[in-house]
Amino acid sequence: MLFWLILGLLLGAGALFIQKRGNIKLAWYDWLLLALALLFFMLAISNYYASLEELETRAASFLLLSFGLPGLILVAIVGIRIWRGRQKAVEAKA
Amino acid sequence: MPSSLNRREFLRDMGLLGAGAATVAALGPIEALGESWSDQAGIAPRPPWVRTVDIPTVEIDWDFIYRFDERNTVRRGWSKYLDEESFKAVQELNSTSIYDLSKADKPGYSTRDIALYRSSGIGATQSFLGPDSVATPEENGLAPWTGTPEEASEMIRAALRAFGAATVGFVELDENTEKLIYAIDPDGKELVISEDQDVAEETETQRIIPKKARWVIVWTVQMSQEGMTRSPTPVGAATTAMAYAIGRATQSRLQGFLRGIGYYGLGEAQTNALGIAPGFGVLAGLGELSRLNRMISPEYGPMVRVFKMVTNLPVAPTKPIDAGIYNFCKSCKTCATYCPSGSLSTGDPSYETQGGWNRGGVKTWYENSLTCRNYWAEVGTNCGICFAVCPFSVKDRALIHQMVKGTIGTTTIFNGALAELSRTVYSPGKMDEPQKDPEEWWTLDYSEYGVNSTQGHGDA
Repeated sequence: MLFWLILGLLLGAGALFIQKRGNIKLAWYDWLLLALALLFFMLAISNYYASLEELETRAASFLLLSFGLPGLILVAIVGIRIWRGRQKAVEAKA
Repeated sequence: MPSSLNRREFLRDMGLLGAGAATVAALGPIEALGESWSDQAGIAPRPPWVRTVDIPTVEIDWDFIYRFDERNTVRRGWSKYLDEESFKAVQELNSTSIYDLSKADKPGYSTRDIALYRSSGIGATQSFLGPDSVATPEENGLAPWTGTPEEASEMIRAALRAFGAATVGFVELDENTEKLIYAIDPDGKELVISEDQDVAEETETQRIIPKKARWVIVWTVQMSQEGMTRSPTPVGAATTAMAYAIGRATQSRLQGFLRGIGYYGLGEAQTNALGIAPGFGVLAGLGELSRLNRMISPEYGPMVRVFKMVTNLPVAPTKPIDAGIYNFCKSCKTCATYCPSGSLSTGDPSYETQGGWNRGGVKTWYENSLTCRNYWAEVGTNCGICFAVCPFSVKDRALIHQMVKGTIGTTTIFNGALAELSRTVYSPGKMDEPQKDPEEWWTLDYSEYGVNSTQGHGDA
């Protein structure tokens, strides 16, 4: 329960950070990708800890990787899109 | 982005919040459906992918089914299937191998491992008629319990759960299902279904079941995944012995309870007596028949022992289920692949039996009980590797298990891949070795009986 509470606070803080920083502009599909990434991360963390509780260490590592990696890829895609957008904006200003 | 909200933005954000709440609320019924899903009195709510069906997923030809002599099983009739010399040899091996393996320092065969195995089966006794220590309502000047069959089912489920059962179902005896009652019990006594007699009775040669006792209560007792995964060592086998001991206790308690409300329950006179447990379990909807030729339940996989009792208390029968298990077994051959004696079928389900220990009449995966039993003699225990490596033998803490079971219950297209994945992740060990270190078992913070008694249940 405490874990989900902390996760909720971190997510709220993250959303607030994006909202406050006006120079980060996300398209609707970026939000969709981030939501998917979040889902993958939550599945990765949840299954990892639950598998450890089940004393299945091999399964824990496997599930962390299986769900965590797609999540990371999705975040990376959004990150690269933001970076490119900024680069373009800098080039346009110049 | 504005750092403060005006009224319009506030209302917009509230609208988004409302949409989020509506989405969560919309998802709510899915969860609620899973929790409240139950159209059968006396059976615990199950997830939506466990569907009730009118006939079991395994094909049964009732015309070919007859009341079997339990002594034809290899459990009791081992000597029937071997010549005298071979039987003498395996018997000798059976009584010495466990100690020889211990002396050879085989992991999992230490003195304490063997002591654990030998003592896990100690517990309640069992009998056909049950104990008479509980007074009948008449003896107490009370009226017998009365209620609808549905109420009776609910009551029995509650009592059995309190006594130590995991899941509970009910079968009504008719001209077909009656054939699952053995003709002869393991001790050679004839099981007679009598139209003439109203009272159950046990004589020197017979056990008499009155024809008026038309219902069978079927229940499971959990085994420990953490224990079983140490099969075929004594540490692994201890959980089987323990489950049988709990089964005997639940039987006696249920017989006492039925007597206390003015009815009777006719139980197993000894292990595996009275009737064919997996058959009754499948008909009661506690699980599906599998490649193991045993029942696999959606809640615990094969990690259960199945018990049954004939009663004159009218109960509401529960229906068979389809949770995709039988179909999954067609793709998954993990148990058969890991079986060290090659006793399990790797082919398709068939009516063709493997020997006199199989009765036939069911399109299933018939096992070679003889080679299986002979292997037990080699390892000095009742093995259990096939149960341990089954993809359904999982705990339920990780969400992945519900995701996988839900997928299996919904579609067959991922079955092969999921079976392969299960082998890689959960059963990476050698086929004739324990999947986990037996010595490590002694260091675990083990739960009561090594099981999670909340698994498959909503209320504590």
